Amino acid sequence: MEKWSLLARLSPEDRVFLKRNADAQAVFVARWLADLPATLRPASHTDAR
Amino acid sequence: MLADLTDLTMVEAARRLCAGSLRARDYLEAHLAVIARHDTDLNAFLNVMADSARHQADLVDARYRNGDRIGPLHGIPVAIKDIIDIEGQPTTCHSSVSPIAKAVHDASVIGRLRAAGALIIGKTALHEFATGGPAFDLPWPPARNPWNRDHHPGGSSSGSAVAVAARMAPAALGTDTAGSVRHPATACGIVGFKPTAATINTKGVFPLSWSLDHLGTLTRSVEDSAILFRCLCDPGIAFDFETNSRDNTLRGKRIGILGEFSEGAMPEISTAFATALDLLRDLSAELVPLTVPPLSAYTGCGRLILQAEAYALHKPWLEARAEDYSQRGRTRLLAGRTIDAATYINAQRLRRTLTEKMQAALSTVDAAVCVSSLMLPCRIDDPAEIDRTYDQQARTPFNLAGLPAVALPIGFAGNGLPIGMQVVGAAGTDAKVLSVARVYEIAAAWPTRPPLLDHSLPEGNPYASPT
Repeated sequence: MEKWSLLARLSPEDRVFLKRNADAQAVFVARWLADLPATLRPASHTDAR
Repeated sequence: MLADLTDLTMVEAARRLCAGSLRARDYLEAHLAVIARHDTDLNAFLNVMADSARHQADLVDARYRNGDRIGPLHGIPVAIKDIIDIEGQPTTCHSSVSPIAKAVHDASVIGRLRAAGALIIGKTALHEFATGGPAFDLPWPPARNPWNRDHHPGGSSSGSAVAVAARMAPAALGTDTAGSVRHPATACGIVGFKPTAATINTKGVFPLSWSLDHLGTLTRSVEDSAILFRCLCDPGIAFDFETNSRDNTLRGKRIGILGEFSEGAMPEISTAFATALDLLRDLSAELVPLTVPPLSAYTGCGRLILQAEAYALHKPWLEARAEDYSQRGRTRLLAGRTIDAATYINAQRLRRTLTEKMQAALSTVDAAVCVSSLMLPCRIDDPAEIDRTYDQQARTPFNLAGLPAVALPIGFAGNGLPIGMQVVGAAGTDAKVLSVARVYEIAAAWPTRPPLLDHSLPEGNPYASPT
C-alpha cells in the first residue's frame, strides 16, 4: 500500500482520520458482514443452498 | 416591503404571482437585496446569477402581461447546489478540482424548473463533492448557520439550506446521499425532502455514490416541498398530495415510532421529539412502536457503500492531484481505498435485507417518525467536535432503503439552534409522508426566521427555549 505515492503525502491528521475510519469499518464488517445474523439473511441466501 | 416579500412561502408567492399582484422582477429583487445584505456573512452562494435571473424574471413578467402563465413555479427564484449542471456555468462541486469548467447542458432538473417558470438565482455552497463537512482550505469559505454564524449549518447541501433559511431564495435544490438535504434543513430550521429513490432524474448531477444518490428539495414549508417535487419528478410518478392533505388532523392515521433510531440523542433533542409525539397524539394519530434492525447496521452499511463508490469515482484525481482537495474532503474520499470487492458486495447484500426489513415495518403504518440529528450543530471552527458529532444521525437508513423522508423543525435548543425530526414512509408513499408532516407543521407552527436577519432585534435568540 505504501508504494502508492499519495499515501506518502498524507498529513498526520489525514492518517489519524483514516486509521479511525479503518477501525470503524473493521468493527462493522466483523459485526454485520463476516457472519450475517440469521435474522438478516435474505431469503435467497438460504434458498440458494 | 422587500423584506416582507422574502418572508412569503413559495406557495404564497406563487399565488400572488399568478394573480398578478406581484411581479416576478420585484420578487426576485427582494431576494437579491437579502443576498447583498447578508451573504458576505453567511457564504450561502458560490455564484449569484443576478443578471440572468433578472433577464428570466423580465421574460416571465412579459409573458404574464400577454396572458401566459408559464407553470406552477412562475417567477419563483430557486437556488441550486453547485453540483448540478446549469448550461454555460461551471459546476465546481465546491472544489479546486472543479470537474466541469462550463456545463454544456442543463441538468434534467434545471430543465424541469425552467419549464415550470422558475428563475435560477444562483449556485450554492456545499461540502466538497458533497462529502466530509465544512472546510477552510478551499477557494470558497463554508456556509454559516444563520441561527448562529459560529456554528455549522449541516451539509452537504449547506448553502442551499442557508439560502432558504436566510430568505435569499424561497426554495433550493440539494442532493442527499446520506442525509445531505435533511441534515442542513434540520440545522437551519427548514424543511428538507428526499423522495423515494429514482423519482427525480439525476442526469447532469455530479455523482457521489451512484447507488445512494438522491435529489431533494429545501423549502420553508412542507407544502412548498410538495409543489416543487411535483415539478421535478419523472413523468408517471404517482403523487397525490392534495387528496392526502384534505384533513388537518391525523385521525385514522397510524404513525410508527422508530424509537431505537432516537437513542443516544442529546437530551434537548429527545425532549423536543417527545413533545412532537405528544402533538401527533393530540392530532388524533395512533402511535405505533416499530421494530427494525439497529441504526448502526444501516449507518455502517451506508458509510461503507458510499466510501467504496465515491473512491471508485475519485481515484484518478486523488492519485493525480490530491493537493487540489481540502484535507477533510481528501481523507473522506480516501477512506474507500481499502474496501475490497467482497466486502462491498456483502454490504450490498446486507443492504437488500435491511431495506426489506424497513419496507416491511413501514408498510404497516401510514408513516413513521424519528429524530433527524442526534446532536446539535457544533461550532464550525472545531474540527474535532465536527468529527465526533457530524455523523450522529438517523437519516442514512432512508438513503440505503431508497424511501421517502422529510425533515422538519420541531423546536429550538437552549442555545437557539433548531431541532428537527423526520417523517418517513414506505416506497412510493411520498404524498402520504408529506401530508403527515404538513399536519404537524401547521399545528406546531414553529418560526423559521433566524433573528440574525432582524438587525432591530436585541442580541440573543427570541426563539430559544429557556435553559
